[in-house]
Formats: sequence, C-alpha cells, structure tokens
Amino acid sequence: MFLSFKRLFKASWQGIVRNWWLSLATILVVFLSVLTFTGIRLFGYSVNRTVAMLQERVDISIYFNKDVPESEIFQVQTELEGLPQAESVKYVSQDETLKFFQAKQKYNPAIFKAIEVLGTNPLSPSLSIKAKNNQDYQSILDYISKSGFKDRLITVNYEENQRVVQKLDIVKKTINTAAISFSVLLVGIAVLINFNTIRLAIYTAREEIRAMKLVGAPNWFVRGPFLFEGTIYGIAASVLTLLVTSVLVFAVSPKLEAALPGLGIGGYYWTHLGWIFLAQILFGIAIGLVSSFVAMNKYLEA
Amino acid sequence: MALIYFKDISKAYNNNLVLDDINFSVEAGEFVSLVGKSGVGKTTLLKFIIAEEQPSSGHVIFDDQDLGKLKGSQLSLVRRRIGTVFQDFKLFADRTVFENVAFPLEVLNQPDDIIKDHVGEVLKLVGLDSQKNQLPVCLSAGEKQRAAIARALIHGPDVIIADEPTGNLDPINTWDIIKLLLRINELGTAIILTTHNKDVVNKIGKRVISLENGKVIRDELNGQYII
Repeated sequence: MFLSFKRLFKASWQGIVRNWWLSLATILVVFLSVLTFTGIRLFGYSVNRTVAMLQERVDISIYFNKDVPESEIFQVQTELEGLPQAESVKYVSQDETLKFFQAKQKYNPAIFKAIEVLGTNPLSPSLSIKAKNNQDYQSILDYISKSGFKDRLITVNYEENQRVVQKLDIVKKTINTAAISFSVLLVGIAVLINFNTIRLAIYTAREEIRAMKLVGAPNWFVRGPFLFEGTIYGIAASVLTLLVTSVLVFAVSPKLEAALPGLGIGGYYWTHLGWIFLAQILFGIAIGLVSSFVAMNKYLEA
Repeated sequence: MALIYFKDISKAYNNNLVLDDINFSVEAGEFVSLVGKSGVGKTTLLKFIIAEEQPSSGHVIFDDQDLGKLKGSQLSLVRRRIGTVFQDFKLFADRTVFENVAFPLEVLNQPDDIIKDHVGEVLKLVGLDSQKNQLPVCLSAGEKQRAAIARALIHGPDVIIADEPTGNLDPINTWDIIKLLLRINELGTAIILTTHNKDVVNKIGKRVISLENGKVIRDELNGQYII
C-alpha cells in the first residue's frame, strides 16, 4: 500500500516537473477558478454586511406627550422589552432629543434662534424600538396600536423606516439572486476552462495512457498519478490564491473601511482565514480531481 | 494445450472483410513469424491477443481463457502475461529508459531493490545499460526499439508479441533486434513476430504463417517468406 502510494506520488511529481510549462499553465487556470470562487465569497459577505449595517439603523420611534411622566414611559419600556419580537428598547429623554436635534441642525442658526425664542424644549421624549427581525416591525406596530398607552403617544415614526426596510429587503434579494446567478456562471466558466486545460494535459499523454493499459496496468494504476497531479494543482492554486487575496485584502480593506465604516472585511478575512483556505483547498482539489477523473475516462477504455 | 488459439476468427471493417476464418495456435516457447502484405491483417491478429481489438466473429483463447469474455482486472492480469513491442515503440516520453523498463514491475508491485536489480540485468541484455537515465527522446530508433523490447521482457511474460519491430531500423539494428528476440526465445518465451522483411524471416528458420486475402495460406514449421 505504502509502496503503491509512494510510486503514485513519485510518478505524478515527475509528471509535473518534467512538463513544468503545462503544469504551470494548469495551476494558473485552477488559480483563476479558485480566485473567482474566493472573490464571490468575499463579495457575498460585503453585500450581506452592508445590508445588515443599514438594517441596524432601522427602528420604530414612539413619541410621548410631554406631560407623560418619565416613570410611565419606563413602564411602557419594560412592557415593550417583554415582547418576544423586540431586540432592544431605548429611552430617549427630552434633553437627549434636543441635543440630537441641535447636533443635526448645527448649520441652521434659524432653528437655534427659534428654540431660544420659545424658551422651553419643544421636543418630546421617545422610545426607540429595535426588532429582532425586519419582519417583526409590523407586529410591534400592531401591538402598539392596540396597546393601553396608545393615547399617550403623539406619533409613531416608522413609515420612513418601513420604506427603507422594504427597499433594503428588495435590494438584498435582488443582489443575492444576481450574485448567485453570476457566481454560478463565473464558477461554471472557470470550471469549464479548468476542465479543458486538464483535458489538454491528459490528451497529450493519451498514447502513454493507452500503452500503460496495454502492458497490463489496471485503471487505478494509470489514473492514480493524474489524480494526484490534479490534487497538487488544486493545492498549489489554493496557496497562490491565499497569497494573492491576503495581499489584496491587506491593501484594500482600510480604504473600504474608510468608505463604509463597520464593513469589517479585513477583520472577517483574517479571523476566517483558516476556513477560507480550507474552502479554497477543497474547491481547488475538487475541480482538479473531477476534471482529471472525467478527462481520463475516454482513454482508459483500451 | 496451446498458449494462444485463434478459433474461427473473422474481422470486418465497414463490411470489408479483412480476416476470414483464421484458425491456428501458438504453443508455449514457440517462435512464430506472421508474414503477408500490408493490410492483410497481421497487426490486427496481434491486437486480438492483447484485446486491443475484438474479432467480428470467433474466439481468441489465451491459456484456456476466452479474451472476448474478459473485462477490467481479468484482462489486466492476462496482459501482464504478455510482452508487447509496438512498431512505434510507445515508450513513455516523460520517463527515463530505466523507468520505462521498470513500469511493468511496478504494476506487479515488486519492491524497489528487486526492480533495480532486474532492470539492470535486462538493460545489460539489450545493451542499454549506459543509457538508463536518458529520456526516450535522446535515443536512436534502434535504441528505442531495444528499450521497448526490454520493457516487454522485464516481467517474464509467457509470450512477446512484436509488431514490425524492425520496420524503422537499418539492417545492422534490424539484426541486433532479431538476435535479441531469438535469444529471448531460447530462454523459453514464445515470440510472435510480424514483419515484411523477407531476409529476416528466411534466416530465422522458424515457424512461418503466411497470410493472403485475409486467410492463412501457409503454415510451415521451418518456413520461408513466400508470397
């Protein structure tokens, strides 16, 4: 067993080294396939993370009459926190609301002036409710509209948010569908190119394969070195892809982070490096092995 | 019992009958020359022995086994009892002479030290000892043919089939190869040789089977090339 394994490995290694130009071309093609696969994975992460970041900003704000005492608002807060759909319920006092408002309107002196003229804080205290899932907002709204404290509210601010959520859902679904279709297309093309390259490599050895069969070599003995070669191509291409993607992520992720704070693609990449490499290796080996296996069948019929 | 028996063999390509009702046998240790014009079906008969092709009708029996009924591993086992010398050598281009000759022993899963000793002996026998580390591309036609014979011989087959082994060689190399085949035959291996070379066949002085128009027209123990 060990002897056969050693000979298979030796024969495949010799095949790679003695046909180094063909091996290099094959590794580069497998590398492109694995790179495409990795790129699609990182793109998918970026889209999902971006949408999640935008969704994190969505909430329901309920504004209370100014005469509602803080203790009553805290009771409502506790009540809402008890809802299974609620992720968090945050109290925003009148003073905090005013500070936010002033911060937002800092370039509009007329507003400042108007508030000064009023002499009191015209804004209401509020509760900001985040749901566990986007689909839960409607049921929280339904709960509020039937609640005992609904008469204590001035307004419920969700419509704007709701539109954003609905749009985000549509955008996410569209991007996901497009990304899956595009991924299937790209990976399909990459696998086809890869298959043809390996088929070409095996085609050049077809006479040898035939001769091996005719001198009595069983199929596994003939196929073994080519499958080993396919595996080595996959591993080499995966290592090359890991190096290239690491350099790219290292160079590009700070710029992406500056443009989209919280995207965290660099953090995701480095913390998942082991899994990414494992996926690359498995994908690379799979296409190397399957291509070699299928491409050889024709020549093993002798 | 015959080593190889061609029983009622016919072969047609696109309704063109190439071999018609061929019947003959080859005994263990025999030297047989198959002669006839190009296209008469000599190579096809050899291909039947290694089951590279199947006859349209009839049976090829190797040591009591009908080759037409063997599949996969059974066929591989029979092929390991046959040494094949192809006219175009069919050496493995990316393996050295040593590795080419060692291949059948690797198929038989022989240990490295035995392979090393045995291949060394056979390469000495065929006169390629000094070229054992060369790739086939570096060899002359005669050397390639000797390497092919060494590969056919290395695992001690019951029979060596040699398809026009001297077809691409000059007269000196031709005689070297024929002498080598005769020597191998003396050691007990049956040889089936196809050739166009009248001088070679006549000087060998062994059994000659002559084919014409798809039929065996002559089968003589100390035969001559008469077509």
